[in-house]
Amino acid sequence: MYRFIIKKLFVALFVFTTSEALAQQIPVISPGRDFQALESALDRDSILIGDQIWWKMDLPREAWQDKQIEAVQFRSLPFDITKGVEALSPVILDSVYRKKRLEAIEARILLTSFDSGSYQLPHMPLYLKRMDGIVDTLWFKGPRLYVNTIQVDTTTFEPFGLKPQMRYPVTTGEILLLAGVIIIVAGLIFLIVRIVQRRRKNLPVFGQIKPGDPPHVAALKILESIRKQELWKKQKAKQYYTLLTDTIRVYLHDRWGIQAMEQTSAEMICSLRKEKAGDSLLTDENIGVLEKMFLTGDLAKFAKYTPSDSENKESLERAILFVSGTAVLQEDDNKEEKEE
Amino acid sequence: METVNIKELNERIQRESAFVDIMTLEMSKVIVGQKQLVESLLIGLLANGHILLEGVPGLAKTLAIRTLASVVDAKFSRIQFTPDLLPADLIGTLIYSQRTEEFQVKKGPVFANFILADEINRSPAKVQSALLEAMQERQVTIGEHTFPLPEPFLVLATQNPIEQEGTYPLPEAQVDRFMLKVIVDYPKKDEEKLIIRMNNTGEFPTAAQVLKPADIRKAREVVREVYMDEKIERYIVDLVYATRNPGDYNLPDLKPLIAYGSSPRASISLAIASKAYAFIRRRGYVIPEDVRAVAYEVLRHRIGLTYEAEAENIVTENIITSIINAVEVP
Repeated sequence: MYRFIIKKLFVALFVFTTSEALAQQIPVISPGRDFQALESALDRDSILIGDQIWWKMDLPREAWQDKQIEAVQFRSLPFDITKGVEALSPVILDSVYRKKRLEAIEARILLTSFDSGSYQLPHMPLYLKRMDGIVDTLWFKGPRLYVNTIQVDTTTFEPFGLKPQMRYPVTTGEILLLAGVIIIVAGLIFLIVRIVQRRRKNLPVFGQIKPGDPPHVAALKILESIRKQELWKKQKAKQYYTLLTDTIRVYLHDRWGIQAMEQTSAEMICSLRKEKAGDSLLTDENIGVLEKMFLTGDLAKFAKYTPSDSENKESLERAILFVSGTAVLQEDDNKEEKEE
Repeated sequence: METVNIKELNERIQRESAFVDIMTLEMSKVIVGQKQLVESLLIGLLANGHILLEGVPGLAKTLAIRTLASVVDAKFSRIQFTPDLLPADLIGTLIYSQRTEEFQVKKGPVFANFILADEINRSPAKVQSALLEAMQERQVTIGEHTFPLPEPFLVLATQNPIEQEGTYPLPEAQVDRFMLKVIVDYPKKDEEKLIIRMNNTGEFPTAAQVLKPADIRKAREVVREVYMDEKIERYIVDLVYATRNPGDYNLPDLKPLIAYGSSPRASISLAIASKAYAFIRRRGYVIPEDVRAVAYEVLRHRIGLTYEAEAENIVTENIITSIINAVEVP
């Protein structure tokens, strides 16, 4: 039964919205004295001249419950709903479902007005045509609509202009937030600049490089550790000579600025001979000692030569002799020596 | 694990390389100065690699090659490359014999131990290709028959860096087949004075024949046995890789200057040329000095420069110098 009613209601809605002829057949009746009106509402109470507003009417389920309805019909609207209020749209019907059940029918009309004042909208009839031909009339109460005009400056008889943008006072919180952002950005910029600058100079980002040991001290320390490792006894002569020659290469770089890591043994000796003129500590004897060490080193590294234990020790002694013989002693070292 | 008796190898090399001094001596009788050129010719001969000589006219390029051929008891051919030269003029052709009513093979001048391809860039690509194919394959096909080229087979090509009009520059892929590219420079003042004297007197000494092809083949075998440590191999690979990815070797400035780096053929050539250099120095093992000594000759024609580099007048030698100065020596 229920399904039948709903079905019929839909048919009625469809017929209503598409057929003008049906509307002609339904008589227009004025509300009686004891009529019970349903509530209707406007989107808002008042509008400005020319504003548009929706007038909404809800038909609850209770209005047609237990009745077999064939059609639902609103009165066909005149252009003026009432004097001064105009309808911009026909009655738009919509159905409201809840849990797949038709709960209500909504109707709405778009209104506007071009005259200021207070308007009482008329009661709006809704016709429910039953299956047995009886037509029930339901009334929606007409609400009151206030239409306001634009305020006019009485001194100039011109409308007031738009209100200027309101300037709010800046709060402490906003100032602190801005200051925080500025500090963070400035900090980041400073950090990036510092990283780039320090990287270029090959320095750590923060702090200072502790002055390292003088080249000869650093070299002698490494040579001493090489001696302690005694790699040649572990059948690692090649590794031993690689460490030995690399230590001397680093020393040559730190002591004379020779790019020894990228030079061959012969080139290093050649570079040292060039430095000899400006360095009294660099003698032919020193260079000769180093040359012998390099020669043994090259044989061990590149010629599968296995030097004897005495040769290995001798090479280390030669390296130490060269470093000690060419060491530039600083003032502190001299003092210590004097104290001793 | 490879076991090499270096002491024994050194002694063997001392014995086998004795001819190097004699050969150099004989060549120096004819060639005044140009030690670098003579040494490069020896490296090419011992490493079984072809050589491209580049230098302005009159620097004894042709004379050096002719002298090298005269020192060895070997067949020598000189081919003057001209624009109208045909591949058949080089490799030979089939000639119809009316008497035997058969086609007979007429071998070209390429069938010799030493080939002097004079001004190789004067001939069109088809002739260059014919020669370069023979260089690579070490055999020549005429008609239906394939003929192996004699051993030793060494091509020494010359090209003139000036007068480029009407020349056919060798494509990169073909230049890569030359193991060494030697730039021949002007002689020193004293050397040039000596050259004048020799010409004034009209007495031109001749080099004696001191070697046989078999000696060269034997020497080549010994050269292959020269010990190359893994550290040296890594150094060679680093040098070649630096031409491809200079940024990896702290040389980002070179990246926009290099269009393409050296091929693996460069690594192979660098290794074998280093061994030959060590042999000439009477050593049974390769040291980094050997690699550096041949690096320019091996790499200079295998690095492509960009337009940017050419606009800045940068040559491949500058690139190689930067790489050598940046790659750590073992």
